[in-house]
Amino acid sequence: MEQGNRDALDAKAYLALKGLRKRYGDREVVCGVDLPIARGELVCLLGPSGCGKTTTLNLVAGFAEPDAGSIVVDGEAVERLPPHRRNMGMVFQNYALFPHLSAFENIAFGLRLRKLGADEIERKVHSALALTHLEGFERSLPRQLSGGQQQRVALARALVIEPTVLLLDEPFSNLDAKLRRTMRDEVREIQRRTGITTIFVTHDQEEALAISDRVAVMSGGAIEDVGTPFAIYHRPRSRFVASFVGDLNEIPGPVYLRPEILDVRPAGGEPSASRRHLNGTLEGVTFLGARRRYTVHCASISATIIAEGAGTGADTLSVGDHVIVEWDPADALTLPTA
Amino acid sequence: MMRTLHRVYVALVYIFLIAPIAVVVLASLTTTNFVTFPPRGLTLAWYAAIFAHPEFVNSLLLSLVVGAGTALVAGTFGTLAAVAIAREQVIGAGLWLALLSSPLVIPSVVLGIALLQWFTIIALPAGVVPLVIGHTVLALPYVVRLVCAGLAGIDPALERAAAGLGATPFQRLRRVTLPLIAPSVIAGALFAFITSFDDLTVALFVVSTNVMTLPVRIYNYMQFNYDPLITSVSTVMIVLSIVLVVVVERVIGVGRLFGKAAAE
Amino acid sequence: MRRPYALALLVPALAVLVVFLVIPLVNLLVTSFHAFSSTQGITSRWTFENYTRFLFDRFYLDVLVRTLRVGLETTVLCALLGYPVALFLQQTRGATRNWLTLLLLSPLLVSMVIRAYGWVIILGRNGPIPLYTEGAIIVGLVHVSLAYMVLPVLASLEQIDPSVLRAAASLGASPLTTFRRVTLPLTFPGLLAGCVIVFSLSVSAFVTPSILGGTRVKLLSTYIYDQVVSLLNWPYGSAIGFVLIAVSTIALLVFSRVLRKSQTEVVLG
Repeated sequence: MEQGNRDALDAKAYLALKGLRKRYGDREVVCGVDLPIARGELVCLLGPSGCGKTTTLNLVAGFAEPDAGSIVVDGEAVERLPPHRRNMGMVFQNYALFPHLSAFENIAFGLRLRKLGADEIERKVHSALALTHLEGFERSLPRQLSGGQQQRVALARALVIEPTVLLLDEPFSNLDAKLRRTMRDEVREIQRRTGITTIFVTHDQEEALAISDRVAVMSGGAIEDVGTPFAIYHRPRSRFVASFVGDLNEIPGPVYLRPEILDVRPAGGEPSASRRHLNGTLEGVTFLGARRRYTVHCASISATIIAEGAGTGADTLSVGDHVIVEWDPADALTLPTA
Repeated sequence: MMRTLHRVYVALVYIFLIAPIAVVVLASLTTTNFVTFPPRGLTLAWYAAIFAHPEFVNSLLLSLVVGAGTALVAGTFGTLAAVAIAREQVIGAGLWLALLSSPLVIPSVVLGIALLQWFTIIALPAGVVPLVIGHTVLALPYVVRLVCAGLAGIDPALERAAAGLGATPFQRLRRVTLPLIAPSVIAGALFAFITSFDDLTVALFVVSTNVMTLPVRIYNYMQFNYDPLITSVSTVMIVLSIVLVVVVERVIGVGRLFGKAAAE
Repeated sequence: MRRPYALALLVPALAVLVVFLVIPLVNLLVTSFHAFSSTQGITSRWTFENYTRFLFDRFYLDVLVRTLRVGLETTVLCALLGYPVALFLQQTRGATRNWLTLLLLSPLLVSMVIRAYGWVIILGRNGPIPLYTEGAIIVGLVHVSLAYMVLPVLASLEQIDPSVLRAAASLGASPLTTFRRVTLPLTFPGLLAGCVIVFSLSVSAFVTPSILGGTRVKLLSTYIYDQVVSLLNWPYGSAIGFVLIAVSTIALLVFSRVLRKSQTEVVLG
């Protein structure tokens, strides 16, 4: 059963960010971030660039010290600990592999620091390689690996030390679209299997919705809304969240309509009593493969509506047609009044 | 804590680097007749004394003339060579660059004796000409490298545009390439001047008892004399070098180029 | 025609080098293979003895070994002293960094004669490192060479991606460990380049050893000067000169080999 948004999780959160603040110069980049995370959860920090999500991640990792607030891991406050004492695995946007070490040695790096025996290191590294489908690449140097392979080495390296928390900073932004999707599914699968508590930073809302247990949408240094992907998408807490996560149409009311709940059909015929509608002129049709996007100008409200329908079937509508945009009012988004 | 220690350490190193120069400059102010540090009393007498030693003044003038000559010759030849290598993609560019850099791997004392022997064979008497020649050999690698680096920074599209507009190679060189590399050329000429002005080793072999550059005269003087005249003469040399660099830097802004080129 | 024009640009510089570097050196090389007698000067007899003399001339051998030792010690000192300076510069930003770099390079503006003389004043005859000792020469050489060590190291430090250092920290490496296992190996090429430059400079240096070593401590370069200018033994002097060139060249070759090896080998631990 989906929970509401921003509700208090039970006080035994495994990883809790409490009242984090960070200022650079005269700009407050993180303004009071509170976020309890349960053990084994994957939480996404989602937001546009400049919203403070990466700084928040750096605070958790220890690469910056908060001006106020605390970071509690399994009951222990760690915000004053230097990064190398926090036992958090981190995957960086540009992989940050050690250029002078092979894939094997990159992954073994953390284990060697922990003074494990050679056999144990061998075993753990090989199972990490297997987990990330990198068998056979032990001796390769980073420059000999593709972007996707490098990212997997980075992931294996972070996981093999069995950290308390896994942190990912926009790890797939340098990969092409298809690889992004493959990698994020792989990461999700690995995360589920290992049960590791994870914070994932991204600006890509599709990615956030696809893999998270919960999504925290950030803006201007604060968390605007937290909830499961479904809840964030269908019951956003604010207009910002609603328009950031997915596309949004706003018509006077205000009534908020997602493109996919709108049907577009040629003008004429009986309007249904149980549905609302708007008349308009079709300005554009974009074929996206699986879906079609319609741009309709509705003179009565002097606004342009974006609607989405299935991509199957022939194009029945053309630009300039008079059309009717219809929807079931129950499908409209209700935002809490400000 | 570590950061403070680091800062202190670096400060100490910089003091080490500046120390001998500062000591020479300060020692020139002493009232004593022998060199001592710290100086006892403060006076400019030893600067006035320079004029009582016309041989130092003549040596300074000679050094300036030779330096200017080296800057001109090495600057011109080196620039042309760099243009040939980096711009015109002359065949065998790698080989020429290696050859032009070869003076760097020859110990200057070996170059000195080789030139002494050679100048004797071709009967070239000591004077400005052999000095400029010897210093040009020393300075060419630096000029070539500096100008090559400057050329590498120019967008090749500019020259192609000029060619497309009908400019002959000479016109392209004169109107497009040379103006764009002017800062590098000036930096190279400056480098050549400094190399020549400061050089002792090669000059030592190319001098006679009458014709002596300033570093050579200072070197000889310090073997037998212990009065502070050397320190004031040296300070004059230092000040002249600094003034020259500052003037060039103001006009051209080559400060950064020095840093980059020295790293190569 | 493009190509002849380009070659023409090279002619002046190449002419100077050929006529006033290559030919004089060849001439000198030829001289080195002639015998020398104190009565006749340079004779016309061809011989290798100027090159093999170090095998039985104790003094020569001492000078050779001393030169190599001084070169090595100067290099090691410059590496140890210079690396932290490069680190500091890399961590500094903006105007401060520019000023510090300028300050680092400014002694190079000043003639080596003056710099060495400054050390004459500072070191004196009775201090911890008195004049006319090997130590004094090393102090002077380190002073002259330090900037040439700092700059290549700085360049290779700049090439390190900062997130790599963060990655090491996130895996549990303390700052010291990160330095040891990541930074240092990655700056090895720069460090090596600096070492080669400093070694070549130190081994070939004339001014500093001459002023700070005096007549007591001879290095190869001052030994050459003595042989040629004082003793007029050109063949022997020039032979030593070529030995000096060989030493520098060998150092350069060894460096290139080591560098290439370290880049192709996969470092396992």
